[in-house]
Amino acid sequence: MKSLVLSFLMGISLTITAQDALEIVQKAEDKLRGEQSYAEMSMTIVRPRWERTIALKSWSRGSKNSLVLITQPARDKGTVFLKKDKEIYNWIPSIERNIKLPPSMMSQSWMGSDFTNDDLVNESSLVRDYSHKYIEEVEIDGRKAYKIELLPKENAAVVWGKVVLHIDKKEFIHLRTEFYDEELDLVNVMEAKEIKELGGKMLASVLIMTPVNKEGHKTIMRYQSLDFKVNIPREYFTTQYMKRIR
Amino acid sequence: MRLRRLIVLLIFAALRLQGQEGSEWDYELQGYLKYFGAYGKVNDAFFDPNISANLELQSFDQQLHNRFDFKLYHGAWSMGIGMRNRLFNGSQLKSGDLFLDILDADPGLVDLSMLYWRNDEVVLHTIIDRLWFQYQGEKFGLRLGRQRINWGINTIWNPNDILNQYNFFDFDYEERPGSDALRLQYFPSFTSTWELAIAPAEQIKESTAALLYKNTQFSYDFQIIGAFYRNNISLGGGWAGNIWQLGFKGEANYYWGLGQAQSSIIATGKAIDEYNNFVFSTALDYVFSNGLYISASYLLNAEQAFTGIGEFNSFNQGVVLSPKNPFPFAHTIALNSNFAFSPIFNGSLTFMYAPENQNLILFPSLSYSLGTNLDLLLAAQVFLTENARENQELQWLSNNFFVRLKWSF
Repeated sequence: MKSLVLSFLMGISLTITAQDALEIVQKAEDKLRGEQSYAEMSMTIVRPRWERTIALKSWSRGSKNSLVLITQPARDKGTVFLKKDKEIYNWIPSIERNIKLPPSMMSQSWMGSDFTNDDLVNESSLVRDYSHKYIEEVEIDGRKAYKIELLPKENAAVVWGKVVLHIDKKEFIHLRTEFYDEELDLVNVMEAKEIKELGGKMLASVLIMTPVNKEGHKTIMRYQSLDFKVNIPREYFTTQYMKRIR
Repeated sequence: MRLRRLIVLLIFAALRLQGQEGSEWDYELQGYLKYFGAYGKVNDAFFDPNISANLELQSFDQQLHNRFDFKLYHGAWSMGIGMRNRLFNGSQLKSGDLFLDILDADPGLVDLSMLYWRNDEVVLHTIIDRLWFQYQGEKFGLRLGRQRINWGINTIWNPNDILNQYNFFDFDYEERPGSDALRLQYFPSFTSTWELAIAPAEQIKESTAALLYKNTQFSYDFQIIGAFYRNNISLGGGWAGNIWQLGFKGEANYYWGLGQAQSSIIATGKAIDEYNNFVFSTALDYVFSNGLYISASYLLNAEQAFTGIGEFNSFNQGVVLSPKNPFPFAHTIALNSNFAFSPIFNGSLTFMYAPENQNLILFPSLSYSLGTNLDLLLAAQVFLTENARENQELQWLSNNFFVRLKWSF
C-alpha cells in the first residue's frame, strides 16, 4: 500500500508543471514568512584566518517592516537598524543619534557578512521576480527534495542570473539554494542544517552561506529562537521606538 | 498649585503604566579601556624665527582612557550614568595650568568634572558626561539631567544641533559631550514628534531653550526648530530624503543676535550674541556596489567669526564648537569616504577644502579588529593653509598622527 502511494506520488512528481513549481516555491516562502516574527539569532562570519560572531534580536511585520537590535559584540551592542518600506535608519546608542542611510545601502553586505541587506529583509521575491521550472527530485542529507530552477523575469530588479532551489518535499524547507551570477557561474550556496521545531514549525535552525570561489569563507546563521505567533505593535517599526528597544 | 497637581497626576499615570509593564529591575553596564597616543608637529615656517625658537613645535601625548556607561530600567522609568576617566601623560602637561583649566572646565550647570591626581608626569581626570533620569510613556517622554540631545541630520556639520554641537576632529570622544537639560517629548502619531529642550545656565543670557517638530512626508523626514540660543533667536529646519539611490540631507538655521552690536559685516572676535548669522549644510551620500561609501557635504557659515589659523589648528584638541559658528570658514566642502577592505579592516578618508585663503584638511584613518572586542585604529590629521610669511604658498601647518587600541566590554 505504502509503495503504491509512493509510486502514485512519484507519478505526480514526474508531471510537475511550472505552475506546480511556483506553488512549491510559494509554500516554502509562506512557511518562512509568517505575517509577524520575532527571532533571536547569531551570525558567525568565517574567514580563513579569523571569525567573528554577532548576536541579534529581530522583529518583523510583513515584508516591509523589520527591526534589528545588535546584542553582541560589546562594541556594537545596542545598535539598531530599522527598515520601513524602502527607508533604512541606523540608531547609534553611544551618541543617541539616528541616521538615515542611503537607499543604495540595501544591496550591500550586511555587517560584513556574506548576506546582503536584501537577503535579510527579502526585498526581491523568489515568487514574484522569477519564472519557475521543476527539474527533478533529489536527496539531500537523507531528505527528499524538489529541485527547481528559477530564472529572473525580464525587468525584474534582482542580482542573480539564476537560482536553483532544493525544497524539502515534506516540510517545504529550502534545503539548499544555489545562486548564479549573470554569466550563470555558481557564486553562493546556502545550506540548511539542524532542522527542528522553531516557533511551532519545522524549520532549519542553521543556515550556512558559502561563497563558492572563496576558499575558507562562509557565514553561519543560527536561530536560538523564532516565533511567528507574536503580536508586534505597529509602533515598533518607527524611528521613535527604535531608540527604546532593548 | 496647578503645576503641582499636574506633576502629581503625571507621577500617578506613570506608576499605573509601570504597574502594567511589570516592575522588574534591569540594568546594562558597558564600557571600554583605550590607549590613545598622539604625535603632533607644527610647521615653524609659519612663525617669526624669534617666536618659533621658543615654541614647542612637536608634541607627544598619551592617554589611558576608560569609560563606564550604566543604565538602570524599571518599567517606564530609567536612569543613565556615563563616566569618562582619563589618565594623561605627555607634552600637554608641560603647558601647565592652561591645559588643566581647559580639561577641568565643565561647561554644564553642575560641575561634574574632577581632577584628582596630579604630579609632574600624569594627570587623572574624570567627567560624568551623562547623568539623567527618564520617564518614557507611550505618547510622552521626559528626561532630566546631563544628556545628549541630537537633532542634527548630517554626518559632519549640524546647524540643527542647537544643544549638542560636536567637533568632527575630536574623533576619540566617541560619545560626545552632554548638556544639562530638561527634555520633553510628545508623540502625536507614529511619524510625528514634538520636543522641547531647556538647558538653563546661571544667567538667562547663557541659557538655551528650543522647540522641535518633526514628521515624515512623501518619504522625506523633515523638522522645524525655533530656539532661544544664548541670547540669540534662531529659526531653522532640516530634511533627510532620497534622490534616486542617493541620500539627500540638509539643515539650516538663522540666528538673530540680541546683544548690543548687531552687525552684518564679518563678525570677527564678536561675542556670540552680537551678530546675525545664517548657517546651512547639505550632503549627498551613496554606497557603490563594492561597498564604498561616499558622502559630499557643503557648509555655509555666512558670518563666520573665528579669528584665524590658531583655531583652525587646534581642532583636534577637543574644542567644543557652537551651532552658530560650527566651522572657521564661510564656505567649506567635505568629501568623506569609507571602505571595508574586509569585515574586520576598515578605512576612511575625509578631505575638506575652504577656498578663502586656501585651507585644506586631510583626515585618513584605518581600523582593524584584532579580536572580537579589541580594535586598533591609526589616524592622521593634516592641516594645510596659505603661509603669509612665504608668498601665500600652500603649506602644511600641522601634522597629527594617532594610534588607538580599544578593548570594549
